[in-house]
Amino acid sequence: MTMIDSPPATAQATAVSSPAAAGLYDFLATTDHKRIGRIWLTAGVFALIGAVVLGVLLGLERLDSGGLDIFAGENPHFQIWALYRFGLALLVVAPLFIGLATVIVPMQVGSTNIAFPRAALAAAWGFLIGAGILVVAVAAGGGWGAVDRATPRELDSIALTLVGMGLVVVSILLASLCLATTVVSLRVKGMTLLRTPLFAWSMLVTSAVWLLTLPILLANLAIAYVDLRGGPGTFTGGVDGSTAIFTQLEWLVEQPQVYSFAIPALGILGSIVAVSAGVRPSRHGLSLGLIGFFGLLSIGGWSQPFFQFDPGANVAYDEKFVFIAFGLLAIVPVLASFAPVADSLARGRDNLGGSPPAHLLGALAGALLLSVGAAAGVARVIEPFRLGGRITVSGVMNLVLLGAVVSAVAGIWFWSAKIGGRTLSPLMGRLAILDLVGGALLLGGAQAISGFLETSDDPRVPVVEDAADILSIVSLVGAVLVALGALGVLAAIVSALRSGRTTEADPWGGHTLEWATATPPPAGNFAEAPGLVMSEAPLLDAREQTSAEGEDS
Amino acid sequence: MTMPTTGLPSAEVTRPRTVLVGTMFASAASMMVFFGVLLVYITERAQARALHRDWFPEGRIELGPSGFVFATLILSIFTVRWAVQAINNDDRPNTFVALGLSGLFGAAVFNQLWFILNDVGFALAGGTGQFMFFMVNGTFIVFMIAAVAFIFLTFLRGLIGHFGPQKAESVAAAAFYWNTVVTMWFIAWYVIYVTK
Amino acid sequence: MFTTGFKFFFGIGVALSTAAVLYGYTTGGNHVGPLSLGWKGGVGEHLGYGLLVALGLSAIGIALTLISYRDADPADQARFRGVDDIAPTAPVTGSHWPIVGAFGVGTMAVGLVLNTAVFITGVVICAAVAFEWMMDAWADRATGDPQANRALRNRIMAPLEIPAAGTAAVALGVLALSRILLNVSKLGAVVVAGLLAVAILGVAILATSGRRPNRNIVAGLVLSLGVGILGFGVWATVDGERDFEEHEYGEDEGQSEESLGVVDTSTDGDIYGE
Repeated sequence: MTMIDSPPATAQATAVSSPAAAGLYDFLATTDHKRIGRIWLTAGVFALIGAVVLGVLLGLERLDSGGLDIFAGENPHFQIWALYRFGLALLVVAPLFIGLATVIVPMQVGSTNIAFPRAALAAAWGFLIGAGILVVAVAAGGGWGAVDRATPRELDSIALTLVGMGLVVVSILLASLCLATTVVSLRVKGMTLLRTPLFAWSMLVTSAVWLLTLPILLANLAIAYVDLRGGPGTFTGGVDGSTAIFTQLEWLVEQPQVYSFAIPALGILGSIVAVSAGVRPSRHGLSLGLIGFFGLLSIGGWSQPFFQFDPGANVAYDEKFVFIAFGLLAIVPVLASFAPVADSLARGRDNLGGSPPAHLLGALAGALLLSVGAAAGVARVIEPFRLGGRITVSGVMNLVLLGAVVSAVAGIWFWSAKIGGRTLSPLMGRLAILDLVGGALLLGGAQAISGFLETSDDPRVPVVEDAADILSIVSLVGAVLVALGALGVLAAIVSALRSGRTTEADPWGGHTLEWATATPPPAGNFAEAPGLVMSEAPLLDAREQTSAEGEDS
Repeated sequence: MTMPTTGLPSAEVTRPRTVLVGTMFASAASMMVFFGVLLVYITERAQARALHRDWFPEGRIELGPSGFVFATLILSIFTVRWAVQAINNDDRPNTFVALGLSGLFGAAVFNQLWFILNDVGFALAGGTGQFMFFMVNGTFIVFMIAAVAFIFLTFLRGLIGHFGPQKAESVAAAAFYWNTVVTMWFIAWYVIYVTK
Repeated sequence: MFTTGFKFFFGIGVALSTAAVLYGYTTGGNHVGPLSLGWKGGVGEHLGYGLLVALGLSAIGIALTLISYRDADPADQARFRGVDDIAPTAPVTGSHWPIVGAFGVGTMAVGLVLNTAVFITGVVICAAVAFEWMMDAWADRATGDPQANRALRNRIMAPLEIPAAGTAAVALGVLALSRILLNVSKLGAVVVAGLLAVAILGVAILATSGRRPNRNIVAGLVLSLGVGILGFGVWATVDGERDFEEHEYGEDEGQSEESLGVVDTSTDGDIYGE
């Protein structure tokens, strides 16, 4: 029955094209994980610019400046506010980390490519198309609600918003599947999961959490879509017609799910600090466990206020025991992750020198923002504060997601040689990261505090307290600083594209296998297959062995 | 510019377990989509009962036709297992027969579900219960289409000589995904058709 | 004994299952309901409880699968294959089908909302991509020589692909162009038709010149032209057709049916863009 029998592989030697042979067709049809990763990263950086511009506009609109109606109406204002929230998570943070991981993780685990490279490519393009549909649909009057007042054309736009968001989520899931499979199945000999580099492990945890939870969002989207197009209106209409769809989906950017977008920040922190300090990573197993624990506490989807119903007790379930426990515990692994970091820094203080490199600054600052966000998250779940539905929720989201952005920027600076064969300016990096961190602290911090003044999270509800007005100004200043920081990142990348070419294979004295590749890494990554891995820092092992042999001789 | 790779061990295209691990993650994600829809069904049904509202019109949901789907899918579990066993023994004729039968059972399930969805006489806009009935069955159908497509493509790959006993992962992966989707029906069947 | 992957996912599964039970009891569950999946007693808030159980079970499922593969560790892979060292994955050749597939899914998504025909087009594209993708995957594994694989694949697929792609491209192009011609002004239609004729002439000259064109230039031109025609076609469809002057049926010039009082409302005016 077989038409063609497969003969055994005959070629002992093959020749593979190097990136220098790149053209338009090769770009569109590439199965090289570095190029696929760069598609994600480019999308993430441009989406970041869009998101921070929206952030500034939303901050301006929030000011009590009397009749400042930037978005020309209450509903467009709400839809743009919702786009900012979902966009920051799905269109900015997710592609930045997926892009970084798609480039780096296969090399870290010693693989020649990502698992299912064609699926990874389809995911990248699917993401771009989905994101395009989503943004255009919102601009055309769609969004996540106002079904009760929508014209037929706006209803189509709302439906397009839902399918666009669905396509984005499916693409993220497909990319996550490729990454998780890479870490599990394509590790080099000797690299058990316990010896997996921290960033690769954090991406396995992130991918697993997304693969388990984002499908719940897909289910929500499917129900809302079908209901909108011909259902009874239970999930899109009724008295909540303006916000019903958004309410079903908002768990994505609230605790605990919002933390899932920041899991890789802990991996980046561990990876960068040990290398910068020039010491063997401290308590690698503990770091893996803490990242895993944080992953567990970021699993959401089960806390969906829209479906909570208790006619008898009239109690908001999301303020019950498990939700509170998740919120309180989430800060523990984040803070605990600083213990091995502090140890590494203390042991390597002689190697650190003067001003910290941009990537070290970014990794520490990103984790710091995440810690502040988790602390605000602790306050949010403490029931006497009654911060549910207050702007503290936005504060937690901004702190956590912008912390994730800062970590991703640190990762881009750290691995820039492997991403694009470039060196990014350390000075521009430090400035951009300081801008981003300062802005995020002002933006998210002011929002977190404003919640205590009973400022509503709903942008359509006016600010009531004078003090809250001042905090609105502070958060606007923060949004402007974040925007400047994002522009700084873009400027540094553009500058490096013009004049930052490098061929230095290991500029930082790295510990993991990505630094064993040439710069820029060739197709197939390794000129020679990596040898047996004996620890979580194989290159450090090799250096120590060489120096020991030198001393012996 | 070319990069010589002489000296490397002869390359294998796919490392063992890769397809199976990928399928495992895909199965988990598919299962969570299904649970996401089914649990909204269960939640809405509980709320309707708490408020003493009708969920379905009386007597529309019958156990018989859905039981046939159940029985068909039970049979398919054996046929996909048969396919895995056969390919492990490098017995291609048996592999093709088993995969073909599994696909046929899949087609039979579509036919039975088409009958059920018409027979109940529900409308999508006929109330939350009827809407969620279509949503759960529709979600199952989408994943069943994916599982049948997986089986079909595996069948075709076999026809063009893609796998031997050492490359039997595709069949094992298709069987894995198939069993995941069959599990979905068992759960949906109990929740919707048995407990109504 | 227990692998790292198993311990991680099993731990998550157990923790989420425990959280489900706690959630059940703290949200109104009673008796042994949260412990028995609601078999005896209530489980509290259904969605949260159920999703925590489902998440826990899924994580445990992953854990059990991973331990059965020993975390897919390289050492276990080598043992499974019966070799000392497991070889790295070989390069996978580039393929344009993933991007076509992504556009197919995008077409389906847009068609789902706006137009059934567009949706069906997307389905057809996705089905074709699934088949082509499978053939590419097969060709990668056919022999150890990538060039031989490519030749083998083309020998089988080209007789199917070229007529099918040509037919689809012509049909889409004609459809899009007809929409453009119906949308623009009379003069515009003449210009568009003229440009098209020049383009066809240019392609013909290029094809008969005997020189092998650069693949990237051809890809760029085809992509730009295709996207341009389709984009304008979609825009023209949305924007509608231009106003056409009415023609009279069976009457002398200058005399409309209306003036004669014999307006036939059943006349199909669609072909005139009404």
